[in-house]
Amino acid sequence: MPDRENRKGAAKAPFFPERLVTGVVRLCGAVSTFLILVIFVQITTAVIQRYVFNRPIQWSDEVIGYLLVAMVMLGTAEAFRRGDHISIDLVSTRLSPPIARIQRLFSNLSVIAFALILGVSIWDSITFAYSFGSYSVGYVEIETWIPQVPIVVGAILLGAMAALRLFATLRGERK
Amino acid sequence: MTLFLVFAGLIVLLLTGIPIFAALGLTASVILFLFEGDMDGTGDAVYTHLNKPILSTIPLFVFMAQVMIRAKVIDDLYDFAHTVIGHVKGGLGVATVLACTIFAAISGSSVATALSIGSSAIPQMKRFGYPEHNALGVVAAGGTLGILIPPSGPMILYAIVSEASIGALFLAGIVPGVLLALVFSVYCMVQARTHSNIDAPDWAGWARARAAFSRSIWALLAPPLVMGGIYFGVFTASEAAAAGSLYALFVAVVIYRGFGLRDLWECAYATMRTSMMVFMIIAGAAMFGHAITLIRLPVGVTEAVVNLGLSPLGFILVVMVLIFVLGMFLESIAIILITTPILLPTMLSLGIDPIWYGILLMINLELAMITPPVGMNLFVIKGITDAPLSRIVRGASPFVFLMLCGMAFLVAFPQIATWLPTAAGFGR
Amino acid sequence: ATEMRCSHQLPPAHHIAKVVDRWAEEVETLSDGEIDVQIFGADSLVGARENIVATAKGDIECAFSLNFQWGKTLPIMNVTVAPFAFGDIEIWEKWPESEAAAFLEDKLEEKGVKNVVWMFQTNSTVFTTNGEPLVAPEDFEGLKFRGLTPPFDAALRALGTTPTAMPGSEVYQALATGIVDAALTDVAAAVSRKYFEVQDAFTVVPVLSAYLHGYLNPEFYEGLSDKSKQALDEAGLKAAQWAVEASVAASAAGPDQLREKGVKVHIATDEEIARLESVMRPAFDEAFGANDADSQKLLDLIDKM
Ligand code: NA
Ligand code: NA
Repeated sequence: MPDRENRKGAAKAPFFPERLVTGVVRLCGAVSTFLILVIFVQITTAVIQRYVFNRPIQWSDEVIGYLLVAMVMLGTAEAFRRGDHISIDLVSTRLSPPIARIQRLFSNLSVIAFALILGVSIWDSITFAYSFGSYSVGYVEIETWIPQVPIVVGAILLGAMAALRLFATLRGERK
Repeated sequence: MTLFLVFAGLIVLLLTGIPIFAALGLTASVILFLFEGDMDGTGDAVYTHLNKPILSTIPLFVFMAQVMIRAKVIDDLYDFAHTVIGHVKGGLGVATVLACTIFAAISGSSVATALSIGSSAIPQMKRFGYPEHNALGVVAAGGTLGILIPPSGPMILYAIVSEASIGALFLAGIVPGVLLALVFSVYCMVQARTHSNIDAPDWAGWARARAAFSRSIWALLAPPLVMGGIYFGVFTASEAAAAGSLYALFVAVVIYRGFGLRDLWECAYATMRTSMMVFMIIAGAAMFGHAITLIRLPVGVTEAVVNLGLSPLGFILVVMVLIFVLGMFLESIAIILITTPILLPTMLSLGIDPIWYGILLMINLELAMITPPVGMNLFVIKGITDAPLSRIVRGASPFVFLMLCGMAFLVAFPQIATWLPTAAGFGR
Repeated sequence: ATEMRCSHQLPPAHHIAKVVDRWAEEVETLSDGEIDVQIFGADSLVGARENIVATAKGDIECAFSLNFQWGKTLPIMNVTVAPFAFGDIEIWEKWPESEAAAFLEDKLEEKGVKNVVWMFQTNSTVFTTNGEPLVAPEDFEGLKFRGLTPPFDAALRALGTTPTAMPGSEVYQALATGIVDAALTDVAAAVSRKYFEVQDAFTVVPVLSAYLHGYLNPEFYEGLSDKSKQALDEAGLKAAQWAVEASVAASAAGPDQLREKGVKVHIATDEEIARLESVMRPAFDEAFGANDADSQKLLDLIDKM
């Protein structure tokens, strides 16, 4: 691990996991952005189908629900990377630098813990639903575990991004 | 005691400055681990609460606002408002409250109202010299009108749980909603008079006003399109949001020109980032709500209130305090589902009108959105402005006081809510 | 006492929600307090769509579902949803102790939940619209109808309507604004969900027949004492009868409650029912395709009742 005097150079040096994770997170953020446009187009199409062709798209609402889950879970790590998730800053903005560093460590650890709990819990649900063979009720009869998969992906991305931040804080970087 | 420990734990965790979604989720996990020995069901709670088609209104209304902002359609709208009422001190604040009121009549959600108006209004208010915390507070509070002025998602939910009439509730919300909007407007003007640093240029003259009006016509046409679509049965709420976005794109590309694919992507990306912030708090709140429901915490507290054996007035006051406190931590859907079934029998036996109570409840749930530590509208404003939360809370606090006065007024004069539905023929 | 948390989706004032509460008290009484039943209604703990898996998995101990919520997970549970198929109340009175019920209970146990109570919910549904009540198949032509499930929508389409899917929570608003022109619901729900505020013509027809059933996590059930199991058996049989009584009362009171609100109510005659059935049933059967051996066996067992 590089020492503190070297940290500018260290930050520039290619750090493979960082590039990999950041790349994947940005890619998923782009997919999430794309899904917003998909939702927009799908709802617009559904309205047109209903009024112009008198043939409502019956499965539209169900698919919108699944797309929303995917959109949120694929985008959350990218939002975390950009620092969009809000926190209560009444205390944290008034800390001295060393304490602020501990605060950042704790904050990143808490996000890792959250991602871990969410990921493990939903993984349990997915494996159970898969073996149980449960299907959704309605116009799109798919196995119920399928639309839950994005939550696992999102939890892994979020956890990995927070781990990177944790590591960066340990190395002494400010951001 | 458990109640105290849970909420104290959540507050401490929130104050450490970790992301709010993580604080909610981790508090939930600790509760579940202590009471249940495992954390089953947290993932399912998140999935269930995100898998709701109606939530598509959030990104779509944000997207509509983003497109109108990027194409500078909103600038023209505010230039118009500023030209017409800018010479009145606090006029821009009034315009923002008015915009919130109109949007509240379009959408059934307070978050959507604060998001769409806030994204465009706050930068403009700052542009015209409004003190930042005032601008933030006006939008946070004005946005809450979304659930009091019909249509309203929480009202429909309350009506179904309580078996009150949805139509009567919608009507009952109109007068108190408009009155609150008026009170907010008056407050904005009074406040502006006491702060001399707010710009108030001279009246620009009719020619300027007409020119500003014709430039802003495309922005002014958006609310009637969206609202008319909902009222005349053309669209559901999420369809109206999509139609609004389509209209915004049309205006941006065809009328204002110069809006390319790159702008489209930038708008969608900005929408994604703002939506994520809201959706992840919904996810954390889902975990928290699941945990405290499972250990029957709100049920226990509510039952204790029922067993106090109070007079109708005493009962209403204690219940309103209870919901105010719950509202600091829980979101509105959870509060309605948890408290209403337990309170209803006592309420009916005391002869309390469920429509009147429903409106009091709605105002209290509006308050829940702007009281810390968990207030969705505070978070929304934070998400779109990056202002410190303390400043937003400070800006919103006068409105908390105004709403509490409004509730007291409604307790003293129930006719404010009950007159319109009674006149329209909804009776017992 | 052993905690038993039960989730269901009905609003607290629904006539069957009240039967669920009464069942919970009976279980507590009969088990001498060995079981502490906690009811979470109105989707407040677990959502309607998640109840089955959450119970089978053991996140909660017990839940109630409407039969059609089994969907493709256990298609045989849907045999009763065919239009006009199970309007006869006598079947439901005999149901809990019938071979047919035992057959379904086995199927549920194979799938991974232990059934403990059958609650017949309704055989008295209403077509709602504005103007004149929907009576003859021709009246339906061109209406936008709130859709229910794919096979049922096929039956609605056979009547010449355009089924439009939407969640239950949005139906009131959609009827108010005219996004849909007509809906099908049970009489009690037409009253409790205030459809009479936005629709003025109702036709009472025994088209849909739905039941709510309560089931436990199998491991949790196995862990109970014999006394507790006995209490669940007894309470289950009693509650089944209460549900039939409550449903009959709600169905009987519903039309009058609607009339009191000043809307037109038409009770379909046998001839009118036969005409609707002749259009709806073939379309439903073709879309549903209940021709596997198990479904046939269940239908035979029901015929024997
Ligand atoms: Na509204
Ligand atoms: Na709050």
